[in-house]
Amino acid sequence: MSKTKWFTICLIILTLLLSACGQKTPNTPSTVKIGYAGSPDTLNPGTAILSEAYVMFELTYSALFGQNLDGTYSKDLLDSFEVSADGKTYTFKLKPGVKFSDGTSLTAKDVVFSFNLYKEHTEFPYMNTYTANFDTIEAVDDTTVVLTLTEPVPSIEYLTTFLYILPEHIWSQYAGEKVGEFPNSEMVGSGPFILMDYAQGEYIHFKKNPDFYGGAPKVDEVVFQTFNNQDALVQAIKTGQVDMITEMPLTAVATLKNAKDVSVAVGAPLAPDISDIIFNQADPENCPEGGACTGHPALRDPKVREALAYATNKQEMIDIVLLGLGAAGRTLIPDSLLPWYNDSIQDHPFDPAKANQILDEAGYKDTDGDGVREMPDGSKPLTLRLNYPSDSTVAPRLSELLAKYWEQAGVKLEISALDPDALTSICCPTFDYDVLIWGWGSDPDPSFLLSVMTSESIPSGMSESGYNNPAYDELYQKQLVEVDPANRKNLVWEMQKIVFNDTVYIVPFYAKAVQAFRTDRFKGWITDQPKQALEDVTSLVSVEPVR
Amino acid sequence: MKRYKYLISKVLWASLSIVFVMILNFFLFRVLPGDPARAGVKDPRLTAEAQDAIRVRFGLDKPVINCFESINPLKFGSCLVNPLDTQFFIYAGNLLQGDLGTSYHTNRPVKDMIGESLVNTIILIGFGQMIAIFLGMALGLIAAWKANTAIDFATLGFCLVAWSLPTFWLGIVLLFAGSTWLGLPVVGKFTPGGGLATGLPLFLDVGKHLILPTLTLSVIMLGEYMLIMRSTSLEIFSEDYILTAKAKGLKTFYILKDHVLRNAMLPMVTIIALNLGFTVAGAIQIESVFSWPGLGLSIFEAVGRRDYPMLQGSFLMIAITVIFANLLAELMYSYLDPRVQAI
Amino acid sequence: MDYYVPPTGFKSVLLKLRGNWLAWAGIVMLLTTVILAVFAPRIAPYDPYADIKVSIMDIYAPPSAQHLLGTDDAGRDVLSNFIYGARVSLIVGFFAAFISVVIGGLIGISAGFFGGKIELILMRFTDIMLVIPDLPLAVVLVALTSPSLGNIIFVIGILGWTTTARLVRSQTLSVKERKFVLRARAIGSGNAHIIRRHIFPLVLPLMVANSVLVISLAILEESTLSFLGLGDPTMVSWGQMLNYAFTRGGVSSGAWWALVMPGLGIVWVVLGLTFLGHGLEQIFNPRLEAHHLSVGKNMVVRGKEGAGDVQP
Repeated sequence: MSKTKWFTICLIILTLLLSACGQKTPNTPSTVKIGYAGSPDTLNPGTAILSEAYVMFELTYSALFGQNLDGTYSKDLLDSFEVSADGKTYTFKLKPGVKFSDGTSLTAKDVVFSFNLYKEHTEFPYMNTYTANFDTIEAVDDTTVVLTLTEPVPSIEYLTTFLYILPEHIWSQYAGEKVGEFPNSEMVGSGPFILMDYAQGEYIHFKKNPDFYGGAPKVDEVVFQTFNNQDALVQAIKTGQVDMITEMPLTAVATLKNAKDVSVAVGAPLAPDISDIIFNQADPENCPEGGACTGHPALRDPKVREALAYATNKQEMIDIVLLGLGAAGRTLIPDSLLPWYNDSIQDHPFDPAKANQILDEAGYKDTDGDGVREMPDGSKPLTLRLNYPSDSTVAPRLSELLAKYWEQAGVKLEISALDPDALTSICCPTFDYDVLIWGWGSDPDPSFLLSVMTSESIPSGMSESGYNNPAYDELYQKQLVEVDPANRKNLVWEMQKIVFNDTVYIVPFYAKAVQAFRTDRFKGWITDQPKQALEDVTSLVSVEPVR
Repeated sequence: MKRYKYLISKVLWASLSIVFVMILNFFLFRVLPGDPARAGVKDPRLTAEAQDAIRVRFGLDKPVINCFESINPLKFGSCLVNPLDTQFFIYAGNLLQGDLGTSYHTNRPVKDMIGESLVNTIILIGFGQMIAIFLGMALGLIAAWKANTAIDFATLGFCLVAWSLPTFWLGIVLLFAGSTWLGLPVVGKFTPGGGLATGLPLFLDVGKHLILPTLTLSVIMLGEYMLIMRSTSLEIFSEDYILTAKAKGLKTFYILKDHVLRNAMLPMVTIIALNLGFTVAGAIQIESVFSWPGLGLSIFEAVGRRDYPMLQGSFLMIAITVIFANLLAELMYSYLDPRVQAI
Repeated sequence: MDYYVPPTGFKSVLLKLRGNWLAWAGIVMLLTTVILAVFAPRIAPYDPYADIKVSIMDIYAPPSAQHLLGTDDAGRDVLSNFIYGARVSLIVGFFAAFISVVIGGLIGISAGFFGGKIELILMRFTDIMLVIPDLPLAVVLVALTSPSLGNIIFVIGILGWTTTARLVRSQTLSVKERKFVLRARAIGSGNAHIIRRHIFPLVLPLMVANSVLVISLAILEESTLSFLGLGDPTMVSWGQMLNYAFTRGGVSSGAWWALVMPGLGIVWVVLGLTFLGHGLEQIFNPRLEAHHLSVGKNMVVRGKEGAGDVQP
């Protein structure tokens, strides 16, 4: 080869070497690697159901208001807003100069477009509930939006916090039926992070938005890696493959607490799932159309339910099922839902003697000495069917424990696991069961959880218990339109007292969120708030590399 | 002429099998009304209207087939009233256009989801089979050559044990040993954040994650290949031409290579194709244990989520592939072995 | 048509068994498992279905004097779970295999005996069922129905008959042409009589040998289904134990005792049944032995005669 060729080759090699060396300087991006055991179902904010998807939306989109970890709201995209005297017209002033990640400006017309999109599409699972009262939405100018409602609402912040602002120029091509199928794989939004790469069910990779109006994040990139197996999360954080994990098998907590450079954080979850024990209280005389209403008559007696609550050892359940990482439950409103949670309710202590006493006094005696009580008229023994979904992780152990506890009170349980679809068909509005172990997801606003105990939810199948209390219904309607926060809180507290005293459900516990992070990689994880979600946008814009 | 008749009849029967599977597939998933509106945890915000709207979107408001007005409860209607606007015919029509439906979980076309995960499964099965075949043939040949000696019995014993191992259990044991003692990665296809890598680092990363799953698959399949190789080799050894070769003074190695190996390829090749069904079952278990993002894991998760279109589509894909592979094997065999004439 | 007359009397079987160490090994292995299962309440130190009185310290405790094989994720004794687990595995295996063999026998005899269109339809159906992959279909069927012991037995049973059917058909065909059958026809015996008195006794030994292997496959399939989360959650089975250990933090807790033991149990009983099955096949049908695991000259490929497909 000629001298020139050799020279060129050497030059090329030298350049490569130098550039490789150059990458060793602190220009390597700081990437937060997060491990979790789920994954978003879709990147489409209209059709998404899973909370994992919402985590991603919080990172890449903006909304008018954002939710804080203590339950309050703060203005996100809004500069200011006004509400009319009758509470039905809101005038929103947006922050100026906000841009989408593709460089276009975010203006009022994008807000109007997005809200109308959410309102029109009835097949968007959650969006209807938020836009139910929306009447008209108009853009007055580039930064002003006027929203009129059909009724005043208690919390416009809550209603708009999940209505992510989508860029009209992209989404308007997908109007009509097809919009639900738009995979939205670019996720063009105005949030603190920008989507780089997404492999469904495997990982999702973000980079920071340096022009974010709220201040750029301090890390360069964030990766969420899906592990299909919770155990592997523990291995991954111990070996440093990930910097933070959002969940772990509870049996591994002790191991991780002792692991080097790993810190375990326990707190109330941001979006708790609530396990509950449901009693069939549907009245056969008043059975909804198509229903069977075969519930055991004893369960319609609040005394029986109360006795069973006394017979249930919640602390032992927490110790065995949650390895101690939970708090005793009261009603469907979890303890992390501040300020709505009524913490003044005194729970029934575990007192089998009291349970037996209540049942004796109510006339449910064991007349034939077989250990199982009968109805006061001697007709049926207190043998209850108990069903739970076969895919539940806590229900098998819970049901075994319940059988043990209630046996001491003279009530026998026949347990069987059912496929979730089969469970739905016997539950509501069919009401062909006695006791169910199931659960609900939750929402920042208590209305929806409270609505499942109203009588109007019975025919639609949303009410699993068939509980029918006009006083409760009235309070529910009142709090739905109560604009004053303090009054509303009182109403909600009152409602919890009623359903607790009537033992509509037995809520065994509120599970805690258990997460872990490495202390040698990133600092600034937000663990001191009432709710804990290290994967939430609040932490991810605050963490910085440990230098 | 006989050859053509044979081929055509084989193809016809394969097609019939596929049609049968399609029909079976459809009714299987319509017996219990799977509900797209129930994906995920129960959420009180999901109103009854929203659930109905979702069902309409998935075409679940239409009657299943017009002889039955509904399957659950079973109600009879008239078969003739608008038969084409029923779920069955819509399903069949879509199928002919290559549309496998839309996933309840992700709202994406099932065939896209299958396509993405299929690649990973092929990688896993491909490497696993290669190693298993290579080792199996080598061991089988050695065992046949040393027939009825200690080596033979040892390998036979090993194969019987490998046969009796539950695939998933072997995976668990290897996962445990591998992660605890060897520090091998045990989950997924890349290390976190490695999805954007390209070229050599990506190759090495995936390779590291592939070691344990592939090893599991290889061990499971190894035993069978070894046994087949052994018995085929034994048969060939007893043939006259081998004796002739030995008498002529040909070295053992060349005898093995030129005569035995080549003749044993035939049954081996057909076995691999025929084994596909079993390999798929193994892949489902291995992918579940190692969280390898392939079709088996997708099926497993679809079961957990009651994502019926995904299950339906995956099952159909697998069944058709296996039927097709069997057909190929039979055709190949008949082509290569002229003794095979009739069914 | 060569005439191998399989031994039909019990004595003649025992005689042949004497030299067959493979079968004896299998019998011993199987018997130990059966004894374990039958006498479980006496042998097991604890009752897995009893009350749980545990604290956090008891979860995934390593083997100790009190718990020879340690404890699982609920603090239960792994050894006791293991012993009781034998019951479910054996019950599912036997009953599912029984269903499979009955179906397979019926189909095989009908196809072989009646021939013609019936044989064509039945055998084609068998071909199709053979090709459809077992595990995905079983997964789907169990997922669609509820995960109870009965359903699992049923599903495994209705999917496992194909190899029996082929085997029985081929044996029926060979028996059908024998002189004593032709003679019976000549004197006017009805079909049912011929089947019952002449064909069935000669087919039965093969079915017995085959059923042993079908049992082993059923046990493997049950453990796989349970591991994948489709088992009956109220029953302790080896597959279920592995499911709990794997999905509830067994690996990260280093609980090798909970992960290894149940699998060893499965291997032990399946291996024993495999040995026994091979041994029996050697006795009852040495002609088939060469074809059992090999691809022979007449395209009898693996899975179409003999024990058939390996594990699910």
